[in-house]
Amino acid sequence: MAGRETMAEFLERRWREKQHDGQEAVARAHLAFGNAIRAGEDLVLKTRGDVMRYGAKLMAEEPAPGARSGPVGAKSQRPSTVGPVATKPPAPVSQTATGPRREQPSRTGWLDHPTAKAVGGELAREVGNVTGALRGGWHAAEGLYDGAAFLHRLASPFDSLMSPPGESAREQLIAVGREIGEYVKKGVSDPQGVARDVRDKAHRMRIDLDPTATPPAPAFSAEIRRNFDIGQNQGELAFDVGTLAIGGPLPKTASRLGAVSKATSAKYLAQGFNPEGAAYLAEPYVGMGHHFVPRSYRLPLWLGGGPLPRKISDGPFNVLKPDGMTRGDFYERHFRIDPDFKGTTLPARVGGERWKGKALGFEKYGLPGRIWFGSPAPLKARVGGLPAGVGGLIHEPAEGQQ
Amino acid sequence: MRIRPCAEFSADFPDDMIEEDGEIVQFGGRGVAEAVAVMLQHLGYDVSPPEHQHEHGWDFEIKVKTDRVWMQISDLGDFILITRYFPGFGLFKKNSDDIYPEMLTRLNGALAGDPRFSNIRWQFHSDVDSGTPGARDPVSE
Repeated sequence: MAGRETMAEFLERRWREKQHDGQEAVARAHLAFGNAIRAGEDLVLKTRGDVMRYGAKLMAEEPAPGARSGPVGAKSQRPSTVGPVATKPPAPVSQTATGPRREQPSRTGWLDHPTAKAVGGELAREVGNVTGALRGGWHAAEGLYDGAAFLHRLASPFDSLMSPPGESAREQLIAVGREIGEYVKKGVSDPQGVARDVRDKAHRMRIDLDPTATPPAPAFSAEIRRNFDIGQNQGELAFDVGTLAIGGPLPKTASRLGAVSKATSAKYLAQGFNPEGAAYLAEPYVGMGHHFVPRSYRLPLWLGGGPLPRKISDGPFNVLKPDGMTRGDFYERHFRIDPDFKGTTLPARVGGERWKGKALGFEKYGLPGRIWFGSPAPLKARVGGLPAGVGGLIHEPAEGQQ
Repeated sequence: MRIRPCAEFSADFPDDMIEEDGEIVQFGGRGVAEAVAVMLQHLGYDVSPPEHQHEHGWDFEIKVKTDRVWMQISDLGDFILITRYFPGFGLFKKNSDDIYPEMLTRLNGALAGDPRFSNIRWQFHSDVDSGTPGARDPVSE
């Protein structure tokens, strides 16, 4: 049985605790500093005092898991989410309130004044409202289309014959039902888990819709972006609520059915490919991509007359190969942006069918579309539209020359 | 003068697509591309060896003085030939120079005279694979 603590023991214990807290504070401040660098934030901790104060502030806000309960920090123990940018959506923002000192961006000058940001943010939100409503309409239409395709498959007696194993509409619906059942089962055994999910969802919703839920960004452009995103979310919500009487939410519900089938090869089955071919087209694209400046291009004679150096021709500024795109979607994109790509062949193991853009009803983009959709993101980001236009023009076929 | 720079045709060649582990490592059309390249060589042109261009098929180019013509062969059941003309730099050169239409006309004659090729239709870019009948000759008035 422990006896009473003497004054000397008390002082020694408090000294150890303070020492431990100091190390913890420094560690947290360092972690937050690393996060800030990765997020491109301006977090200034010039002196050891700054580091200690900032770390102590973080500890006061969020004690570490397993932190001792005591007279000072008797908060609930939650997983630590150290860092100045724990949640970023709707737009990257800086939590200016969390740091002891943060350098305000100086390059933008008067635009970073709070009034300018408030006025600009308000305008951005209004513009966002309009585009958000349009986005709501688009999502609704998309949902109806996807959902209708899925319901059609569900009703078709041939769907299970035409689908790869495990991918028929019926099997997908059963799989989703099973997932829902498991969630309900989990909810019965762990009601707090469901409550936590609901709370997280509500928190997410507040961040998405309420401009006061996240702190203003330090820079004018970031603040505009934050308000625009929030405005878009508000606009889409307004669309959904406004169209309640005419079935707004129904398309959204239907879109969930669509989402079930979208992950599979249904789109390509609908295009008429056999189940194996459709499954192949639903796999991620791994080919050579689209060359913005075509490989057939040769430099003018006064520049040597040869092809573009391979490093440039096959480099990230010239090759469009979007991550995560299915083969089928990439072929469609390639067909639309490349006048010389008319179609291709699928492997014999999946039936050796031909993918032909024209036969599938796709149309080639005009020059602006080719420039915009055909230029790789790094090129767009680096040089903008004007030089990118050169690549698009090089692709321009000589049609019916006089 | 109007030039149809593309052709669709049937070709009686063995399937030369190569697959490894279920993936295409070489798309079909090499044999056809080589046959067309040899045809052009026999017509007196300076032709580069066909190169594999993955989903696009095979391509090669023909040099005539400072001008250049690029050709691509794709195997889409019927074969598709796409050509593009890159005129060389010349102060007194005119667009109406006959190199390109002459080359296509001569190639059309050689294709028509080879029993391995049949059902040749010359098309504009936008009409390729659209089901339009096309023309028997690449050049028309």
